[in-house]
Amino acid sequence: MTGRAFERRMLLVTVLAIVMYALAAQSAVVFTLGLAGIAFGWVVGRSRGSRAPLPMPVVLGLITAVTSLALLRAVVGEGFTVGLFCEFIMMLLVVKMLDRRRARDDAQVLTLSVFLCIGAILTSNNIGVGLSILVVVPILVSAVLGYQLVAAAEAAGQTPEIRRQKLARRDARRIVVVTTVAMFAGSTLMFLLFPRELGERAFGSWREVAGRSQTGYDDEIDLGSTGRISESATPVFDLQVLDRDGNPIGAPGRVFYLRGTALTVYQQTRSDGRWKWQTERQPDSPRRGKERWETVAALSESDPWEVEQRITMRDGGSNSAALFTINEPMFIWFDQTTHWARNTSTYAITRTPSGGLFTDSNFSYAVRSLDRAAAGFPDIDQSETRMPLPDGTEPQPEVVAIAERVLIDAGIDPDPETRPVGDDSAASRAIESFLQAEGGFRYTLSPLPARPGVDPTVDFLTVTKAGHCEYFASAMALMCQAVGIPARVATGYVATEFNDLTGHYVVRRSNAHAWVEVLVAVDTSTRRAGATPSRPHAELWRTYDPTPRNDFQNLHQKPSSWLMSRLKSMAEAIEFAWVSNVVGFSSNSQERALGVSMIASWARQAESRMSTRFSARDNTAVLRAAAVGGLVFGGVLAFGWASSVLARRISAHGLFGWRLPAWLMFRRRARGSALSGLRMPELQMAYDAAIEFVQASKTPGTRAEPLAIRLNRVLAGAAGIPDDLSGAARRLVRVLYAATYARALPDADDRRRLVDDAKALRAWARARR
Amino acid sequence: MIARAPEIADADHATPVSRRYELRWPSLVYIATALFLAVGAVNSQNNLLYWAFGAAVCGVVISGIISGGTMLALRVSRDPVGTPHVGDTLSIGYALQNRHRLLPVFAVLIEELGAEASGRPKLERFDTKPAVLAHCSPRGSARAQANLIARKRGTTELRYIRVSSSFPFGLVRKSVVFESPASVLSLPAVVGTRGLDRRVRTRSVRTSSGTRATSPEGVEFYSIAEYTPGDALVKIAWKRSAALGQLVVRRTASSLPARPWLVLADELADAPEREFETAVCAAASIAAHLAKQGAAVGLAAPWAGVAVPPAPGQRSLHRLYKALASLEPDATPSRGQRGPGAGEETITIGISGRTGRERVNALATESWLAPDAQLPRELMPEGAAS
Repeated sequence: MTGRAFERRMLLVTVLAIVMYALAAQSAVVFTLGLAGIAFGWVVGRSRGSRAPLPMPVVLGLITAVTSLALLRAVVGEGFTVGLFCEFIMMLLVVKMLDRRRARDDAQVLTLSVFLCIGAILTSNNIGVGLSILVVVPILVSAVLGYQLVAAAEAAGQTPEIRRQKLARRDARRIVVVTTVAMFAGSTLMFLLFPRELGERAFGSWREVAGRSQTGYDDEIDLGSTGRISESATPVFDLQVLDRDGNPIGAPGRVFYLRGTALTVYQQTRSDGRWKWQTERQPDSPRRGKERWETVAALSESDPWEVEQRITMRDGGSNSAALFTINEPMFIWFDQTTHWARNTSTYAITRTPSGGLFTDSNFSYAVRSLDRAAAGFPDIDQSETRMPLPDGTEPQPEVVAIAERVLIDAGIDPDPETRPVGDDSAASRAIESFLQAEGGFRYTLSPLPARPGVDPTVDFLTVTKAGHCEYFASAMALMCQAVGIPARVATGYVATEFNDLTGHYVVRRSNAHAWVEVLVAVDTSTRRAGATPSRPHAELWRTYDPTPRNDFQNLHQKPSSWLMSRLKSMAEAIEFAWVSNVVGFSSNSQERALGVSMIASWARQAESRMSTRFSARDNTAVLRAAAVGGLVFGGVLAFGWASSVLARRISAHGLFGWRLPAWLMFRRRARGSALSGLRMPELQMAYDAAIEFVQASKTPGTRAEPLAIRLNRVLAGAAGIPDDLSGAARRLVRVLYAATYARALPDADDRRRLVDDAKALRAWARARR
Repeated sequence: MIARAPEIADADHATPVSRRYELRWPSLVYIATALFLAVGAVNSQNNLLYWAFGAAVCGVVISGIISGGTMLALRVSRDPVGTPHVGDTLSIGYALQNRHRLLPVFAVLIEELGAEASGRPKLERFDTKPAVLAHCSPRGSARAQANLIARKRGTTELRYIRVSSSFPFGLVRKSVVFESPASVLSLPAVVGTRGLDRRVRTRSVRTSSGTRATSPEGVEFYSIAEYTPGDALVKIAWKRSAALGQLVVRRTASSLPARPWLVLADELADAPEREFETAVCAAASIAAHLAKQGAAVGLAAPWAGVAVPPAPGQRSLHRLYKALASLEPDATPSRGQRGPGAGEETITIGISGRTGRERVNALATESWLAPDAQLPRELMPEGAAS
């Protein structure tokens, strides 16, 4: 390891940190600008033949400017976010690259790189970040170890150089490998064993709010506005669909609709048409759910269900977000403690914000639902009158005319007063097929804006005949309502992309979709939750998708070759494994993987106790815990101080080096062997003479000393004796040192003189004694 | 400076007396970051943050194992130390042995602490820089060398050696203090002789027995010698060269006093430290020059009871240096010390009525250290290098 080798590793760590953050933020701009900045700093820093091309005032000015800019953005603009923090770190990295004067500056660059890596983890847990960690850690370890060498050499005013020493290089490699492996092993152990859910969301929010642009999903439809449909292929969640026996029922070509919300009220403005929630029915107050099947529709657990969906969100977000389910959910299971609420009208489920310092990077849940439409309606009371349309529903004449014409063409009575309730399903089907094929409508992501003063849906039905899924869904829902059929627009995702390697669907932003749910019957066998006298029973809604499917798929799924398709499937399978097993690792996974319920249950109990204490505003336990922690911490400090003082005292009294007699004997033998290995009796004689000299010249009764100290004492003692004896002592010491430490044996003349010197010294010592 | 060294026997190394763990700024940053990771992981249940927190904790554990294990298994011994002149570099060699069976040692700093086993390295008479041991294999040994610059004459006690390292992650500096008593005597600075030679050649020397207009190189013809590059052209004996067919030069016999005494004047006993140190330096320099010319130089400081009789050879010169190194202004005169006798030649070093550094030597050696003879800055006594 040389200084230059260390610099190369440092540069590599910096580049990898930027790549890691770019992967986390999925930003080509970050990648390009970050690497360009680092390259600029690196090249400019070296091109001038100096490690720091910029004067210190300029560097300080740059740092001040970067900090001020970040603060300004945080205070005035977007607030303090992880993204802002990471951009600030990147700018600082570029500045520090230009200001590497000493090893300490290199350490700062390394530290900033580590911060950027942490920022990347806070931003996203995608597989790119995970793979980057695997690459960064060994290089980071190597760079940090190299830094220690560079810093030590700098402190001694030397140049670090172990490259040419084969043994040192081998040892350095071993240390790096062992350290890296140990870190991976230890951190994996921590990952597996650390109790989950303890202290979850104890702090405030600190992330960018996931907006509609990030998921492609919205819980409102605003016809007339542009740019609402995402074409991004970024995965939003992974879906597994199982039957009652736990067998996957997903298959290529099989499509599942996952509703996030259902919009029942259509409002027309001058040139906008907006679908919204039904306002008179407020969502339930939030409930906490965890580790048991929560009833969504107030049904008993014994009620039949047909489909189970396991959904792992790629980015949980920290704001209120819809949970997606196939059909109306009956039961729901959360892997994490989750505050959730349901809409009593549409059964749309929402995660409610509870405040959190960090993003929920992983969030998974399972839903059991019954596809009653597919399963048939065994207990349908079709004699009941049709349910009334939502308040404020006023069909427009143009829509009514078109809907009636469609039904008449299909041989169905358009008049809701005279049409049997059982014909509503056929009527809905006729309207769906009209929009899909017979009406001459075209799918496009760039619909023309509606004419001023004309309702966008009417304009779509009568003039433009081109739009995206929201237009089709809006048109069908309004047409159904126009002929007296209760209908609503559902928004969510359509799962079409099945991976046969893993048996799961990848749902992307571009899969965001809108379709229609039509009330086809009322199940009188089941009483619904939150029932009202006017709507006492469960309503049976059937899904219709009026969007031309071929056009939709052609636009959102680009064709690819077989090889590319297989590679893509494999990559997605790996990513799914990553998301399922690493990102989505939870207390349930912990129990399943380790068979240990103790950690989770302990964590739950602790969490429950903490929640109870906090909610009761009883701070006694917290204060007690803080006091105990403080005492322990203080005790450790006091113990450390006392032990150091004690050791010093003992050392001062000569007890520190106390040893057993056997140990003393061993030491004596070892000392003898150091010289006897040279097989020269003159040396042993000289050594013994030196010992006698020292013993004679120092205070009697003190303990034995190592050879080096004794020889130094000989030198020191030589100053106070006659000249001829002093010279003898010095010669003797020189020979002993050379023999002991350099294995340099004296020649014949020196040996003769050594014997004479030893004799003279010994005689003096004996005389003195 | 690293070199392989043979194994050190148990009895040869210094005795460890204490060990210490010192938290540093990087460790505080590290702890804060690890806490941040823990809070983030717990609060958000972000599994990669759990992993990162685990890595941070492992870093501490690994650091403790590596550094603790190796530092406790490290043994050190100091080579005999020399006697540098002020301004010279004193190289102290250390032999280190790593007794650990598995772990190598990297980036170890070795520092002389002086007489105190704790605190910052404090050698009053030296500018210290630690020795660095870049690497030592498991169960291996290595050597390192520290270069200290002597700043002040006198005896320095080297008692404690601190061996420290912040390897592998720089979180905590672990240090072990070894006791290895030794002392080093810093001799007075000797001014470079070139300028001194020139001045000696061109100025007169005044002694207590009178003034003699003479040159240290002398004027009396001594012999003819073969010309060697560097000889002055005026020394060439042209006629002789022509006769012999090769260039020869004239050699003259030295007229320096054969056994001069350097006498430090009594007034130096009350001189300020700056003048006193300069006078000592001047005495050492003059002695060195005279000895180089073959004279047997003696030293006398009657007010301190110091008398080193003139004797030829380096050993005698060294004894003179040692006497000068140990000389203190407030020394108590002792009886029985024989100074220069009647008729013996003396060179007295005292203080003139001038101010500043030029005051020294003005009594009798004004010509030896002329006012323009600036001592090198690093050789000046502490506080006088203004």
